[in-house]
Amino acid sequence: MLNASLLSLLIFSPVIFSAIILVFFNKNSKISFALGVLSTLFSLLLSLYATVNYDASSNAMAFVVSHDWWLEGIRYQLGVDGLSLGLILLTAAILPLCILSIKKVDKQLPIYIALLLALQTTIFGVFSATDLVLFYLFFEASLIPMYLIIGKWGGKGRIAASFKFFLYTLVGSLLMLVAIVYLYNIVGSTAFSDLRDFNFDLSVQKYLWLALFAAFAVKIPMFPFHTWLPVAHVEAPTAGSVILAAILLKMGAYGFLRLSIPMFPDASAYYADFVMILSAIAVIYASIVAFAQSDIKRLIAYSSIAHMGYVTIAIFTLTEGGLQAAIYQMISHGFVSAGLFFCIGVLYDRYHTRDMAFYGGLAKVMPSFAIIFMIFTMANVGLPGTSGFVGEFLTIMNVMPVSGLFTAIIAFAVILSAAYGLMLYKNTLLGETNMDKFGSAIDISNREKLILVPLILLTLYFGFETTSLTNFTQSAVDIILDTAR
Amino acid sequence: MITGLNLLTIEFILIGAIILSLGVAAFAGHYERVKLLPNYVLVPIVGVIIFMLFNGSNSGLVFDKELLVIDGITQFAKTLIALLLMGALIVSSIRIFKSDRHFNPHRTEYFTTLLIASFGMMIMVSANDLITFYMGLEIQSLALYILIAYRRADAMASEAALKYLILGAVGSGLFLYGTSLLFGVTGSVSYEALHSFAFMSGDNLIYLIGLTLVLTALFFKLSAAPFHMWTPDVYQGAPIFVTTFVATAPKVAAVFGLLRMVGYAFQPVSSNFQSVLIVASILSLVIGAVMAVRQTSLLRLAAYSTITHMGYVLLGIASNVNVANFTIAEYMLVYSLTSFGLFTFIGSIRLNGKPLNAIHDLSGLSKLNAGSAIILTILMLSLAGIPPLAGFFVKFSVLKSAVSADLVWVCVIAVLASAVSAFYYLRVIKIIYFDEPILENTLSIDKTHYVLAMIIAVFLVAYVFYPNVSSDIFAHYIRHYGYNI
Repeated sequence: MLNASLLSLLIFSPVIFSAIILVFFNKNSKISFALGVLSTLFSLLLSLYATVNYDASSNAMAFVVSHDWWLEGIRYQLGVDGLSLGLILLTAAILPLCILSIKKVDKQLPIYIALLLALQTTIFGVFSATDLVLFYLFFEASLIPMYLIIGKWGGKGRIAASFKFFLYTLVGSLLMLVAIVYLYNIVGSTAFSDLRDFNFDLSVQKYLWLALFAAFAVKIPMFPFHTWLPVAHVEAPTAGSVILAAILLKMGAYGFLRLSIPMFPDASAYYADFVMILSAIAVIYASIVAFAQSDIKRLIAYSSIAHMGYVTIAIFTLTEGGLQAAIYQMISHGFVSAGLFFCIGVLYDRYHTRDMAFYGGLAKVMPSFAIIFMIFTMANVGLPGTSGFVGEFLTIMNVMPVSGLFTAIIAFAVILSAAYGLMLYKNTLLGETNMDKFGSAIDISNREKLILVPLILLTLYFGFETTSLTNFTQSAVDIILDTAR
Repeated sequence: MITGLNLLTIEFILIGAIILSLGVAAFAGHYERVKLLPNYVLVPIVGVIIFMLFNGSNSGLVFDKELLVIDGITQFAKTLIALLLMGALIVSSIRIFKSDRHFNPHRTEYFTTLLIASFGMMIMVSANDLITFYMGLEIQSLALYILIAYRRADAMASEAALKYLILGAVGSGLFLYGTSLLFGVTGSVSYEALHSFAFMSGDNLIYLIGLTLVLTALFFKLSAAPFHMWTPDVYQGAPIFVTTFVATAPKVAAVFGLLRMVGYAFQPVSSNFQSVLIVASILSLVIGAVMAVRQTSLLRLAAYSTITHMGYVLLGIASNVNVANFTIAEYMLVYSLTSFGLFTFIGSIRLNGKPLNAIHDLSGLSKLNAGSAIILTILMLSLAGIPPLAGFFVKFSVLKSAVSADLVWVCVIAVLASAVSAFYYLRVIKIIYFDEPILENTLSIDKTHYVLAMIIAVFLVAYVFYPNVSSDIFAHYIRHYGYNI
């Protein structure tokens, strides 16, 4: 019974909590905070339950739901496999931390929490929909809460950033909408399985692939479409940045894995070089740009672009190992970028600036913070023992058979990432401590530890225990590639 | 012998109501009790009409010359018109009897005129003959001129009415000239004769010129570009509760009138005029989207948004030239209700005792009144066609029918126009959520308006759970009444 409605419950419980907060407790910060924590913990429990009950050896989607919903062939269909469950688990793990990170001083706190919960619903929806229209519905609905979060609770340039975020993503996804309508007209159904089984001509595939690419490339974001990301990241509040970096970017990569490659295998092979070239440019370009930033959040945003470049380059090797590497990198980046943005949030809460030049020598006055920040920086750089290393190593290893040139490029980018990572750490935490400015600095509170320590544990866990994740996603990867062959 | 009069029960009831309110105006207009008339007498009568329309099943042709047709499509359109009339009666009775002293001497005539306009619209959708259609059109237009100029001391209202009158007269002139050309070549004005003539010799140039002129006149009424110029001025100049009606019900009448003409009378030559519809559609989409960007008045913005939506409607008609066009029925149901909700919302707010006009007057509405901010957000997002709101589903249907008519390129233009229009809808949301309230302003919100707008907002949100609702309602009418073409 629970298994049959598990996914629906998972998807809709956050939005129900969100509605309760909006309707009954929109003035009461304490109760809405408690409800927010309760709701996200409930989701975490549900997704853990799903993970425990998921049979990784099976080749079929688990917890399948299928109801009549709209037109013939457009159904309310849900199902998960290792890939989507991994991302759901990531989401469920990050969201409680985001709620915890919200300060009492934030204005209109109940609405903030309600929007985060509504966002969680759309994210779960994206990762568990197995119908293209349903997928699109959640994919685009996620823009609304995020737009409001950036625009309402963001920094100085929040309004321009929120518009840029919304409109960039909207243009991409509207092109995907035309492709969806077109697909529905030829196939007569928008179920993923029906679309996978349909053989499209290469010429048709190319157009459809490009339309989908428009949506996902903006979302990831890939090189020429990335300009919204630094702005959105810089201006978003901490919780917003964390969700954006850790989860929303993964939707694009998820779209490639779940839709583009299985449905348009020939076009994917045709455009693989194109994507790899763009990704290689992204990796090098974003790393260099990151090095030149003085704004800490901007630096991390560019580092995110570079890391997502690894993901796309790995995906479009179109090999089993490449896909595994991409998924590993996605999950790992989820924890690491979340950790980094929370760390910056810690600094920002204390000094209200993101300017790197302002800081320096904080290690002396905030020792625990220095250690935590060190771990995340090292994970971002890809130090062995952290999950970042595994992701990057797997990527390099799997790109190598495909192209020596790209291997050299992305391996070089690892050095660049070490350069900007260490620079960031040096400029903020090491060096002379200005006692006038930082003499009264407060080290991180227990609440902040509660947020950061789980992320550290996860980062380290996936740095050592690599097979647990790859085994978990193996069947999903097989299915994606099986249909591609 | 006159046949089929029994089919006109609805119209007779409406005429009865007109005579009743005219009698009240003539003999009892000065009594205070007269304020009971609209809400306690006319609204129930319209309620009965809606009930009878929904439950009836008589269909056929009226009069020996088959001047009027009654079938599922006409009755559906009439239900929609009656619903909008009911809403207009409710919202305008409040203003007329409460605050506006301009209306006092002629307040009951207002309701008579409203009923007469609706009667004209019902004739328009039922017309089976160009002259009958013209009569309906004129009854409607003359009544609307009066309504728009009702606040006759107001320069803006007089200007709006004059513009509407002159441009409407041009439209009527074009219509009549087209009709005379058509009569010249076919020897008849009945849709059946036009249909059979087109079937026999559709390439007749005079016939095509005549039909183009007739279509042009309808584009005036639809406010489709390039015949849209009057729309913003009228929406802004007329009293807001008149706009609520003028912006919604006449569009329904014109769309369904157009549908019967192109879907039946001119249907055999549809390949000849399809391009006319497409050009008007593209122009409306682009002009509506681009012109709205810099508007500062909420009403003008709503006017341009109407133009964009009419672009969608014309696209839907062009891609499926058929009287029983489910896509258009769905679209008109959702669009006219949304638009009604928007104008009701605008009417609900009075700023320092004056009607709302500039968008900036809504700054920080979310802080002043969270509920109405949410309602406006829902209306805006639905008009923008963002899932999961109702606007998305009907937009999808239009795109679907356009793609199946091989109009993919128009779809791409349409979605790009949507992206541009998303910008100004978002700007409204930005103003109500992100801007700070202007302190010296006092907002007062009318309860009845608020409740009506809220009902519509709830409908737009709940739509996602049962997206077939509007096509099911249309199918209900087709099932009960059948259709005559």
